[in-house]
Amino acid sequence: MTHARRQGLATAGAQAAAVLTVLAAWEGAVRAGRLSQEFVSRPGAVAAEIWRWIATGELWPHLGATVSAALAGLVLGLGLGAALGLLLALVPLLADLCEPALATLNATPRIVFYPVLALWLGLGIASKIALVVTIVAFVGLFTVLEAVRAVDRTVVAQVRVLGASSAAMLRHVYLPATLVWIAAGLRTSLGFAFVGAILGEYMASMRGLGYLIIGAQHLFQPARVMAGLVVAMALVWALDAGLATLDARWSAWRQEPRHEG
Amino acid sequence: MRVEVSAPALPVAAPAGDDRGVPAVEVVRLTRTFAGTGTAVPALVDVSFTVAPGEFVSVVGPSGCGKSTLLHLICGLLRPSQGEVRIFGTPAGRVQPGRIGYVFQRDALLPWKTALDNVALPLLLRGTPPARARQTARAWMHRVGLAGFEHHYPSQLSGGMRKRVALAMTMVYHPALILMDEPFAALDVQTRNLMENELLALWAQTASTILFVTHDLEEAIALADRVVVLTRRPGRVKAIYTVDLPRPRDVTEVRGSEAFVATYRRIWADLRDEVLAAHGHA
Repeated sequence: MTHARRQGLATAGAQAAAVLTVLAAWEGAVRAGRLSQEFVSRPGAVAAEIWRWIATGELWPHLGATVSAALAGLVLGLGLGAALGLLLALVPLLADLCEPALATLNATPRIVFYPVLALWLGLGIASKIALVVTIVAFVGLFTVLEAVRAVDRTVVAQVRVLGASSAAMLRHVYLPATLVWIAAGLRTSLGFAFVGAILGEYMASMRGLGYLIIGAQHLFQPARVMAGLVVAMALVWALDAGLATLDARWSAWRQEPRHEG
Repeated sequence: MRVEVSAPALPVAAPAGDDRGVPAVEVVRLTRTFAGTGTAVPALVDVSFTVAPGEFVSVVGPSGCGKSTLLHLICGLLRPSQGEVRIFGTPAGRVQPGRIGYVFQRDALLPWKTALDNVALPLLLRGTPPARARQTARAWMHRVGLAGFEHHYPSQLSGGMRKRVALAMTMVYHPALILMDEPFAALDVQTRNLMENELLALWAQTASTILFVTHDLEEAIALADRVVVLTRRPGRVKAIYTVDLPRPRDVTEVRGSEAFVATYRRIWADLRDEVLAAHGHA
């Protein structure tokens, strides 16, 4: 085992110990009557609640609804934003025309659009996906706009001298230049996507993690509220870890030489 | 899109053939002005010279004298305000892309492609099947001394190695004319001399015509058959010198020869006034 790996494991162990300590203190404080279980529940009850969700299978449709809304919105939103960003970056006139409007929209909290989206698309998953799209598309758009503008002018001149057509420029220069930035922005966007999906479910829904949480809050069931939060956090954590691996692979060209041996 | 399928089959590497007698580069009374604040600022005025096929010509001048502008006009990235540029008889700007190569001063490699894929890119753009493009690119990586570095990204290579990749990327498609804009300016002296020698060796093998812009008179003389001296901004042709040094040359050794020193003195007498004037010591 290498030194770095051993150190990594030690750090992970310390982190796990810290989390367990906090949980134990929480559990202890509630049992000792220092904290009210009516308000904060306690780790044991939360774990039992999650276990019941899993054992009865009650969790899966809700988890599925939230994940589908977030991921569908993420893909659609980033794709739409990236395509728009590419278009605006390559047609400066269009960018000048649209940028004030885009900046205004981007500064508006997107949740204000939800009633309109729900009006158009109903209270099902479509309006949640649309809400996620309105959030994520801007991340994709501004990321790509910046990425294309940041492409080295010399590289562009070089590829042009080599005789590249516009299509070839797009394929060999602009798309790869933006792909890495999208990959880097993907992790940020993932968080935003779940914010959008769960917010949408809070507003009005019949399924999803947001629905579980808000329903439990209405019935004053703190263990269920906490359980919903824990599941949402675990989900985003797992997806983010997966994306981190992908990101490392896609951005190999930005890394310094490996010192082998 | 232009049909370029036949490009690799053309005898572009050998400017003889139907190009016989036609200069590789004809610059005729070329003037270029840029829009300044209120007035037009001239960068080049009334510049004329020719480069013969297979010739190695250096262009020297004080910084800011319009050397890069000249190359941009020759490869068609810019249009002349007056006068014209012809490449093998064809007006610049209407030249088939594959006939001109350009080596930039700054790194112009695609950072997201490996060294091998960078070298293969010009061939892919000409419609060469990917497998064959990579095979040819591999051979060129070997020729510029980078065998084993095919799968490194530019960020993983040293400055000298990146320059080698840029050279291979330019030479892989056998452009008849190669424009070089201070390509080795950012390298340390040892690497630079090494690269200069390699450039001369590759040039001797490929029969390309090279127009090499530099602000370093020693480099200009050591490499070239002729040296075009430009004045300070706006650039005009001050004089054109023939360099009478035997080939093949070793750029480090040749600098010690009497003929080199004599040539250097002769040209420096002209260039010094321009450099001093450019720095306000007129």
